[in-house]
Amino acid sequence: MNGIQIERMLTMIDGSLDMTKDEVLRYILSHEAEIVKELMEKGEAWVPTSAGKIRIPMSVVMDAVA
Amino acid sequence: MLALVISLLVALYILGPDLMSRWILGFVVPSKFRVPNKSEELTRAVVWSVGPFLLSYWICRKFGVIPPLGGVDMIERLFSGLYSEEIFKMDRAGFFTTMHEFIRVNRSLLAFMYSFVIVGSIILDFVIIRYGVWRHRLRNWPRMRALLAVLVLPRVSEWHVLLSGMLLADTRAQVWVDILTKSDALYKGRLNDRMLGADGSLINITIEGVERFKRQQYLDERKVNGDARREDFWRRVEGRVFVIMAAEISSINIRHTYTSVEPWGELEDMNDALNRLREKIRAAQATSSNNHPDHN
Repeated sequence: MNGIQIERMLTMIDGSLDMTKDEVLRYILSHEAEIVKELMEKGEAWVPTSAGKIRIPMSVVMDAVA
Repeated sequence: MLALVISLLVALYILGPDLMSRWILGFVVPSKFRVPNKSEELTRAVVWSVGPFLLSYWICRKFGVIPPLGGVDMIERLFSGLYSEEIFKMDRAGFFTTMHEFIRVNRSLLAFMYSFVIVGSIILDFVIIRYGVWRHRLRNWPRMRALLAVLVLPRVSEWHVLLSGMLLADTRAQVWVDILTKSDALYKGRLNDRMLGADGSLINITIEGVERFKRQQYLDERKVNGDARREDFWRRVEGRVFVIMAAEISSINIRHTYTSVEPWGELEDMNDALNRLREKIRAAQATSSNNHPDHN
């Protein structure tokens, strides 16, 4: 595997991370009520993405910069 | 004697700088992950020696650290004396004078050369450590990004590049793998470690938090229940770490993702979304408090 092949792979990884972020954002925007309920009941919420479930702890939400 | 001196010079000027750089490189990239072939090693050795040598020679000459080499006569006298014992006996005093000068010149050159190699290697170490970040920052500068890749990637094993977080701009991201074995078992978990052989081949992969997919049960369930969800057929494997030998691996799916400490706040859009959630939670908490004043 040469440097160019690795570079291509890196680009795919960048895309994968961006996709994960986009998925999380889209899920939050479209499931606000469910997430709020889950956060209030359990103190955390889980977001399903193609890379697996991602946890949102209550502290992250409450510490978000205004 | 001549062959011995030439071998020594080759070792000091070509092989030494490369060995020095490898030793320093080993502080940030474990040696087991670096598996260059012979031509790569030779190329790297020459590259590591030519630049520092030319720079050292220029500085030494510029600031008068070394005198002019004395022309062809000096070199002829020195190498003739090394080559032939008879010539050495004929001009013994001249030989040692020349040899003394030769050693002094080389000592100065080597001192500067190795200093440059050490400084360059340390700088390269920092670049490797921050490779993902630099790569991300240069995303709008493709040529600079390609140059960075040429500088860094050939020095690091491909497996290390793939199975480590060095590619990622955010070091908090983690590497997860889905491994399909030749016996048709599918495992997933967070990458813990990997071991490579001397030839660069993968020996094994260690993952943690492992789950195994019950594929046959899933397929059986799908026959009677079309709504069966794939997520329900993952079973946790007991034990903290799980080692899979490379010989058993059919394919690996590598995923890079964030943990629960994802840099949520660093994303402007995400931050807005989280702020909206926070306001809703506060509103819900306030409503709850008003409905149950006794709880205050």
